[in-house]
Amino acid sequence: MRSAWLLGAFVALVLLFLLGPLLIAIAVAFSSGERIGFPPPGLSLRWFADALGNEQFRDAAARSLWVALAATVISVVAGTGAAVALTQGQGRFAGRAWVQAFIMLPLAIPGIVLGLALLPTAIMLGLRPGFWATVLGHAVVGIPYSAYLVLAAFAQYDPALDRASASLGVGPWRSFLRVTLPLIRPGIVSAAICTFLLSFDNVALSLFLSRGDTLPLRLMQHIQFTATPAVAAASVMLVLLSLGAMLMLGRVLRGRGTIRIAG
Amino acid sequence: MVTPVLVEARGITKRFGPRTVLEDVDLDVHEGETVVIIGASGSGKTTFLRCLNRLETPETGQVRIADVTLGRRSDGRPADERELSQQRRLFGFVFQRFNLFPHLTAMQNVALGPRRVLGVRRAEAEARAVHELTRLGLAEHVGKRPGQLSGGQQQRVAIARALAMDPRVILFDEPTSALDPELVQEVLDAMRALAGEGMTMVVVTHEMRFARSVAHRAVFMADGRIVEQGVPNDLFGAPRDERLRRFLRHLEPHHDR
Ligand SMILES: Nc1ncnc2c1ncn2[C@@H]1O[C@H](COP(=O)(O)OP(=O)(O)O)[C@@H](O)[C@H]1O
Ligand SMILES: [Mg+2]
Repeated sequence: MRSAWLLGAFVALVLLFLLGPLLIAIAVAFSSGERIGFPPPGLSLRWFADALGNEQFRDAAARSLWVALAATVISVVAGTGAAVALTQGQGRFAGRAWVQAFIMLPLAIPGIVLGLALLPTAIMLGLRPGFWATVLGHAVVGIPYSAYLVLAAFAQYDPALDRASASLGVGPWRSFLRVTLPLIRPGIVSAAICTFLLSFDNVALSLFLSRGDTLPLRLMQHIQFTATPAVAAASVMLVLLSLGAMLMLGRVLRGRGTIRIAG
Repeated sequence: MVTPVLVEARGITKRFGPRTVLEDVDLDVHEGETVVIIGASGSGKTTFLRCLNRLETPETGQVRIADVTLGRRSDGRPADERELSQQRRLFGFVFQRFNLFPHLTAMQNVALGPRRVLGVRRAEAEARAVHELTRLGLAEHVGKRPGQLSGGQQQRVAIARALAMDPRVILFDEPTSALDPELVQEVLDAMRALAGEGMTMVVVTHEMRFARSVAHRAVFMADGRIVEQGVPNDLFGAPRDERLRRFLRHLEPHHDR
């Protein structure tokens, strides 16, 4: 009994520690005052209207959206390809474990270091900071994430099903499309959601590779120079977006609302 | 049998790395014949069946079915992957562990081949699937996924899936050995009915009563070779090879059904 009570108190403290700052940001977002401060002098929605009406925020949100979408497509396609190469068909080659570890390497490098290394690399490849440099930079991290999640899905996949397809005269490509893909779909969908979130709120890489025009960077600049509660309002909206994506991810990983492909 | 030869395997040799798993195996299967293959675990039975429909590629040897040589085009040149897929479907294959597509219903499992390989329209493919499933006593289960079916039902769906491709011969790889004992009979009954309808079948099984009562011929494999073959009652009643005698002694008390 006593230990259960202690555990409860501990969990409450951890939650407070994790969520406390978020609660303060939310409170600030609903402030009626002119400046960021706690507690807010009164409540209003004016900073939400201000954030939504802020052209810089809107442009940055659109830019971040496109960057995240492009990075997601590239990462999921390349990550799935890597997972297929590592597990299917001739995938059981010697040195496979090394190749897999190598693909995962970018995840072990701090974002700032990676950004610092990628900027000269991009320029060497004739790519100036901007949309594509940012997209490819995010993909450098998105690909290993995607490969990891799709590999996890392949771990559940029974290669005997490929033999079943073959025995029916279904060729390898068609079998991949009709049998393999639907069965690893939860992995692909979670890869897409994770990569999207990863890119959408990335600061470390965008700092080097973009022209300072992604949403997280704009919010940072705003905090440095203007610091109205509009930043908090924008953040609250971002949190809601991420939360929505996380809920979707949870559904996918529990396997609900997936696998609905007809023969 | 007096019917013509339908499947002719000649000199099949298969290696996995340094190991020779099949060595110079010949087998003829006649039209409408049921051949049972027995042999200890690891003797190469599964590999041999897979060499017949080229799920495995033998190092040497040829398989002919009707007037098709597997892996070769009619002009004698090597077949590409697509042509091989087309040839492969002359054989149906029923796996030990069913290998149904878990994301598809029974009907979709059976309709997949006709739709995607034979190019049959969806409605027609589904009608064919329902027909085959009904024939195997699964009319009430057409809309269920494999996970909702018993092992015996799953294996019957797998048989229906093979039948829907209208194969010339069906290969069964220990179709009942992954089943709970009480589910074995329904699958054997389905196979018995197929044999009765004149389907050509090659069956790896240790169900001796099935072998005695259904098979026209029994083949004993050991160490990657066919060691002895004959009419089941002769082969089981008066085995000549010492390995076969030992095998039968170990088998009969546990497996006779
Ligand atoms: N893909 C494979 N790679 C390497 N060895 C294999 C493979 N498949 C089967 N073998 C080996 O070939 C031998 C025959 O196997 P198998 O045909 O499955 O025998 P059976 O079906 O009679 O039990 C076994 O020793 C097995 O270990
Ligand atoms: Mg076997």
